[in-house]
Amino acid sequence: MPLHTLNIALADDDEDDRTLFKEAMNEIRIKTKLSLFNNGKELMDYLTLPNVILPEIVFLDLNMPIKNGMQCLNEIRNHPRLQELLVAIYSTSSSEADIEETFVNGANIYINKPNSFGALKQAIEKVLQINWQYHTSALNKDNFLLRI
Amino acid sequence: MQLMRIYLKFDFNLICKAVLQEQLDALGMKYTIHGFGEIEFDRRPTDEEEQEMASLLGNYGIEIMDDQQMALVQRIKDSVTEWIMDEENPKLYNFSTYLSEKLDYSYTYLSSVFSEATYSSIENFVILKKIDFAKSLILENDLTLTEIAFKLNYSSVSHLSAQFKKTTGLTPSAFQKIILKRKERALNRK
Amino acid sequence: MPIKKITSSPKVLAVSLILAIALLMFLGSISYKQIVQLGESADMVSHTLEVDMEINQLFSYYAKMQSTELKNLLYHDTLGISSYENFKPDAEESFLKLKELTQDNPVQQKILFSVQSWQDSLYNSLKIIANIPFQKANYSSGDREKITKVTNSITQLNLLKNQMYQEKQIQLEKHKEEYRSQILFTPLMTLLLGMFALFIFIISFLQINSQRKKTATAEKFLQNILGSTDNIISYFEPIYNNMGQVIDFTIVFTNEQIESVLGQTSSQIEQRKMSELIPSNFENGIFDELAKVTDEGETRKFEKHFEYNSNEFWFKTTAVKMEKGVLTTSVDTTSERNYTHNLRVLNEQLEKQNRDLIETKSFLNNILESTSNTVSHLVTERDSNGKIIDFKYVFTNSESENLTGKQVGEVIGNSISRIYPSVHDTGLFDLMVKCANSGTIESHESEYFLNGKSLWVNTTLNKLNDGITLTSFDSTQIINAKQRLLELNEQLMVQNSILNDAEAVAKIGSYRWNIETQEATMSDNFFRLLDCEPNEFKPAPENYRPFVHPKDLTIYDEKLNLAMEKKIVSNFTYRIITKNGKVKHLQNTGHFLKTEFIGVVKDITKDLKNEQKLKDKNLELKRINSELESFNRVASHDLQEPLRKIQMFISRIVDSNSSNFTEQQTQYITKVQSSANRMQNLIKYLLSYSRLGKKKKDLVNVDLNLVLDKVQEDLEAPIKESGVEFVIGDLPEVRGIPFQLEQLFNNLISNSIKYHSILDSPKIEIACKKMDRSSIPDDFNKKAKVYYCISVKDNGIGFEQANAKKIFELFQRLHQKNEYSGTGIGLAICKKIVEKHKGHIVAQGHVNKGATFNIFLPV
Repeated sequence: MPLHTLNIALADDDEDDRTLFKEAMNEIRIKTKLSLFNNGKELMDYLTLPNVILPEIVFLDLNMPIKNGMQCLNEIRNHPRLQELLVAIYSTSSSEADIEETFVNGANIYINKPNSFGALKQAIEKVLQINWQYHTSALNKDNFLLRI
Repeated sequence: MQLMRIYLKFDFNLICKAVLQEQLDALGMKYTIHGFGEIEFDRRPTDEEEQEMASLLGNYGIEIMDDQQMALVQRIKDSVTEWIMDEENPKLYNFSTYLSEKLDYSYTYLSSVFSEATYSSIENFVILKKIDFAKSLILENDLTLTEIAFKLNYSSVSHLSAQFKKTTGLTPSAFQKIILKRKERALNRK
Repeated sequence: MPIKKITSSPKVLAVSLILAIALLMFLGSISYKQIVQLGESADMVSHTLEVDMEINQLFSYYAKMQSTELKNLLYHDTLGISSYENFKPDAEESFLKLKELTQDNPVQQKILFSVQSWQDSLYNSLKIIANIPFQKANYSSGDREKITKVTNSITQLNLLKNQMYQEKQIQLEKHKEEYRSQILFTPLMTLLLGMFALFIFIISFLQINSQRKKTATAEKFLQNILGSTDNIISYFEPIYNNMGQVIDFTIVFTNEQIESVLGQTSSQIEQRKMSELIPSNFENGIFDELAKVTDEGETRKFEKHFEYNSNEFWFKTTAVKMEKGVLTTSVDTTSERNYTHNLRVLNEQLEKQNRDLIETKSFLNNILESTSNTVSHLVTERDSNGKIIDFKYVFTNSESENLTGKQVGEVIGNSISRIYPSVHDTGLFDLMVKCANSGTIESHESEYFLNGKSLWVNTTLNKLNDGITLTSFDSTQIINAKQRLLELNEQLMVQNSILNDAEAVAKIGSYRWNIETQEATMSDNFFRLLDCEPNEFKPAPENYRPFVHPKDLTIYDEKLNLAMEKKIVSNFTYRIITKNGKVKHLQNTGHFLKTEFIGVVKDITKDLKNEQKLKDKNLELKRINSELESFNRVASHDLQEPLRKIQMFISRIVDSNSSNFTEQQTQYITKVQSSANRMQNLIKYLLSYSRLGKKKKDLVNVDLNLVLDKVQEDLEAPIKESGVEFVIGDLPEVRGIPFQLEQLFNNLISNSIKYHSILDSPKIEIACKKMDRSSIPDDFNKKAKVYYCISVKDNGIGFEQANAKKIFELFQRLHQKNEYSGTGIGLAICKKIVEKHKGHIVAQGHVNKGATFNIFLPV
């Protein structure tokens, strides 16, 4: 049986990054439905709509105008309906301090924006694969930390 | 409002089994639970029965796999879990031997079925599962990394650390530090 | 006196008392007897009366009988009614009664016997009569005779009756006599005896009374003795347990003397138990002694130490058994003991003093012999006028031999003029004469040529009897020292002037100010600091104060007061305005030396200006630093962003269209790609280099073995690719920052891999040894004593030894860009990391043979 379609959301203020992400998504084997948001506020507005179908994974850029990734992460973790969401940080920063901080704040995945399209595809695929395993293989979601 | 968090440790197998028994009893058919994720009925259920069963189990997020292959994948996963949890097996058997003997299929067949269904290899899954187990052991904090490595049949601590880093992108100590900080923060928020 | 003694003796008293009691008892018994006899006498009288009465009765019956018969004869009573027979039973009864009454009287009984016979004759006569017939007037003679016979019997009976009366009377008389005699004797005896007993009683009472009085006097006397004695006299009564053993004593009596020991009066002590009052007695053996006395009854003498209320005593005690208890007499021998002790101590002291004295004597002798002074005694030699003409040696100590070179034997007995003629020239002789005459102590110093050299000799002269004691010593050295002191003084003056110059150079002024005498001095340069000539004004606080800047006067006065009042001199800075109107900053430091305030002022005007400049520079530096930091942020994020996109899109182009490119296009694309990658590396390294400069991190223990494991793991891909072989020795644990040490070895190993030789199979050897800092040839700031020298050695392309230092500089590359991919930052980072760990890194290289990097880290 093929995997059912995954709902994915990405919040990134950089149009190029959004485009590249979308293209990468399209090229991987796993079927996904991607929703794109220009900043954190747009994402949060959408997620908090009543009866919205929640995505499986939310990808968050850290550096965004209006509402940055960290703010979104904190809001998600403190929202009763959203707190179980799988959150992947998708950022340029490779500072160890930034990475640790996001994990401590509840991020599940931290992805350094790769500098090649192939690497991007690999990263996304790995995330989705592991995510799927977590969904189907009785793995402890609380301990789900992944850094790419 | 005061947030309250408690931390649980639980056995998925036990919970699943309890849920399954409850729901299947409600169905009123004779059944046997084979291992985990495979149920044998004394006769072929009718379409209506199958639908009812699907909806009952669906409430708990349990899906009936209409494909034999998916069932096999599930049995592979169960066997992997069993193999890792048992301390003795890894020392006695080669994993592939263990798996093929247990499921009565050739290892090649099993791995091809698994890859096809999950887009990843059995080996990957074993690693994932082992690291997941290692994570819970690390957090229990009763064992040293050396002891964990031994328990999970790693040749050395560095081997475990390397695989941990490769799988999670983090070193075991970094992982432990993050989870501890999370708990600390949760406590402070209370 | 002897009588009194006898009467006063208690034995006589007791005997007389017993005698009195015996007498009284005798008296009692006599009286009783008398009374009984009196009763008996009375009975006798009444008995006599009864007898009397009975006699009358009986004889009356006889008379009646006679008369009756006679009557009958006369009147002829024929009837015979009245006959003597009628009276016969009565008479019979009365006779028997009488017989009974007089049975104890034989005389009466005899009479009664006669009466009976006469009675019988009477009866016969009467009977005859009765038988006589009646006749009127004449009776025959027979009859007459018959009647006469009756009358005869009656007469006889009356005679007997009288006899009986007589007898009875005699009896009565006899009784009366007896009674009377008794009556007379009894009261007299009683009276006499009573009087005697009374007498004895009175005597006894008097005796007892006097005895009592005597006892009281004796008691008082005893009391006085007990009170006035120094001895402690006590009486104890034992208390027994069930087994009959003495377990305690009750203090029954003690004299007042006890107060001096126990501090309590005897009345407070009496009737109390020894155990509660003086428990110490159970430990010092006193109790045992008393118990022994109680048990054995023998008198015991003992001397015991006794402690009460931290007072200590010695008591010599005599314990005597007295009745049930023990009487003790204790003499306080404490002072005696102390005295004996003191005596002994005194004796010892005396002995010691004696010893000391002997020692002192020998010591003195020793001194005289061992002193470096020459001690001599000389007596005067006078002429006939009594004028002193010379002195003669009578004693000189052996030291003189050393000083003068002349033997003691040679000197003694000779005159000083003969032995040291020069004394007349040096004036010593005159002084000796003066001393001998006036008795003043003189001292003299002059140069002599003795023992073959010139010496200065200092001599003290002291009169002793008719002589002089000379004490001389070699004062050459002292004289020399004096000379030296003078020279030093000169030097000091020179130094002072140097100091003056130094003050001028260092822009320092000094001052002294005696706060008692108010005298002050200021160094020349102090005046110059004020743009004045030295000593242009009189150094005094009031003359100096006008120079102080008006705005700093408050603090100046405050500090000055503090210095004056509390002698606290604090360092402070104030401004002055010089004579030329220049403002100068002076820093004052100083301290008190006895009564003097000694201080230094320093012109720090320039220093202050420099300091200000430094502060400004520091601020500037901080600003630049923060700018640099923000630049780093810009570099890390904002520069990386577009670069990453360039890389991204190129990879996109390559992925999608590579087959359609011309060869040249592919080459260009590759160049763009490698440039972009290079730039990314550069940025990354620059970032990490700049991050090293950030604030300090805490050092922890890092196991270098683990660090190398991790580095090899991180470099897994290039290691595999190059096929490099590792030989890693046992590495130590060092203090450091884990990720920095990882970066250090990562860079070094990457470097070695990068520059590996194509000819040999690449090999990296890592080893460690301990080195003492002195054995490390390289020059760096070696703060630790021992260092680890960790060497990373490869067999790669190496480098020219001349470039060994250059390679650690930023952006210094020894190779062409296209030859090897390097940024020129890696080794600079290594150097910075090692230096951050207080260590040192050096490189050794041989072209085409390899390179060795030695890292020194403190142990």
